[in-house]
Amino acid sequence: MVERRALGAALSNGRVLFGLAVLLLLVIVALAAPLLAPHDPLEQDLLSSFEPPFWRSGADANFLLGTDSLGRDILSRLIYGARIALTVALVAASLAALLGTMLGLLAGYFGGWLDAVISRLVDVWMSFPPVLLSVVLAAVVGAGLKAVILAIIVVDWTRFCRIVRAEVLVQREQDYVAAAVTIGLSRLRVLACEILPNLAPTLTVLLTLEMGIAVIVEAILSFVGLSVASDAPTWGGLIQEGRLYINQAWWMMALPMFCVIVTVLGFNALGDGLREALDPVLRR
Amino acid sequence: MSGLLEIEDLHLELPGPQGWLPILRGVSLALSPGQVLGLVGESGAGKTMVGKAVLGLQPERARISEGAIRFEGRDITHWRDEARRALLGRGMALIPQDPMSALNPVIRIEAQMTDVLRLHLGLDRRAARARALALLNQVHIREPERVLRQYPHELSGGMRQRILIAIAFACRPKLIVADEPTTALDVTVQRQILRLIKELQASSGTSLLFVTHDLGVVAKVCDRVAVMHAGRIVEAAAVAEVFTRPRHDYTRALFAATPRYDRPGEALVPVPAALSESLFVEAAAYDAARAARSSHA
Repeated sequence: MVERRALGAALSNGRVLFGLAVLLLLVIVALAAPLLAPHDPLEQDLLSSFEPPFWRSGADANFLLGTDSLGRDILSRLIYGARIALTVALVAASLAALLGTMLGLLAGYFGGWLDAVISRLVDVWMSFPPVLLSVVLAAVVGAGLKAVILAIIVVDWTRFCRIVRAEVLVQREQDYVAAAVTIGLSRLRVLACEILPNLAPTLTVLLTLEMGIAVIVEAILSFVGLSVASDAPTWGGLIQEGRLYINQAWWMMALPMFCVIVTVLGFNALGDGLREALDPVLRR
Repeated sequence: MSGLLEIEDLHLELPGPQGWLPILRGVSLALSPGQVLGLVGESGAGKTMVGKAVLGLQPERARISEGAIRFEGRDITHWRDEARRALLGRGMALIPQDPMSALNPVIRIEAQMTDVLRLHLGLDRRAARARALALLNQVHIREPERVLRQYPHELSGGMRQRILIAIAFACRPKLIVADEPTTALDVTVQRQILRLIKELQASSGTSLLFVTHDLGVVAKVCDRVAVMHAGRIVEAAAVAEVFTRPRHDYTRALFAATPRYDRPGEALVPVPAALSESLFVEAAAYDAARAARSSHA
């Protein structure tokens, strides 16, 4: 069975396992945030500001990773930050994939003027610096979680569109497509039921990589203050706050950076691993 | 003899660097119900293009500049999309050349077989499955239940071609175009597949347009044969007649170029260059005359 064999190949791949472990951990932390976090991430305690983390002398056992300038518990803020990071990663990447895949399918399969319009649009779109584009977008739409998600969709649909279009161009010349046409299936049906399933491995890999990218973009946008409300705990926001005290308390910046790096590394490892496991050419 | 399929003076052209390139130069064919017509010729003769034009699957950039294709008395030459689709699968079907790539690699056999049944016969899932099982039995596939659950890559080339044949015959079409259905197969499997196609054709009374370059295959399967060269039909007659008394030099040359297993000592004779040359000159003269005629008109 194709699925079972591919699944086996995927699960025996070290990178896939590492990626899945990171992703699973992230999901658990995000879902169970209220249970795991020792404090309310917004609760200020000015009497215990700048508490050091556990490995420094004078650490307060109450605050495992220390507190920030307003005495908020950093561990709790990191845990709640995972919620926002994961939401953005899943929602934004999926919607970008949906939009890009739809346009890529149409461009690749129908060709002609439709392909010309969509391809030129992608070319122009990709010539904008992506971070700048999302900063401008977030500034126009206004800060907030929705703005971040929208910015990622608007910037990154082109990745999906290009690759899906190229893949459809290859697939539509295959004999099975001609055979499907000769039994009288409509063009849309051929596209959706015959060609699309053949893109599944490509799309899985792209989607996973895109989630990693979404986490970074979210961090960047909250770093420049364009993400969710500024007191909400986001990793990017924590990095930005920590930057102010880099000389006194380096861990305030290092800890959220570590979270971002591990998460993105996890998504990328998963994506690369899946590419190896699902690509029949590489597998041979 | 009322024709099921009538092709009349079909001219098909493809865009080239200097205007339209003629691919078919006035092909005329007739196929009556239940008949098997072999279409033979060397590579590039246009035999596959005739099959594609009949099914309406010629490349989108191709144009049919003259002539007509009639199916059951209706002129379908310029039918497009909806109308054509209603005909495909139900009225006419294709047995493709390469069974290795003509099945969708990521879809189970069951879905690929039942699609056509559900689409054209309006069967529900269960009825379509039962019919698919019956079809697999008809094409002599063992353990049809298991095969339905499998993916194409788990099956051999011969099995896949049997499945494609089953799909082609699924809705009892009046006409099946077989485009070199045995070329991609093992020699030992070829004979079984040929026998199977002939058997199903005879029992269902379907007409068959059999495109091939193999005269041996024609002798086994076909009633009539049309020999093509450079987009023209140089000779068309009953198989027995063509094999015993070929009239055209090119047909004779094709026979001489066919290996005979019963006469292993004989050397192979390629089609003489002069003959081939003269045929191409004829074709070019035909094009020139046609161009002159259309510019006068």
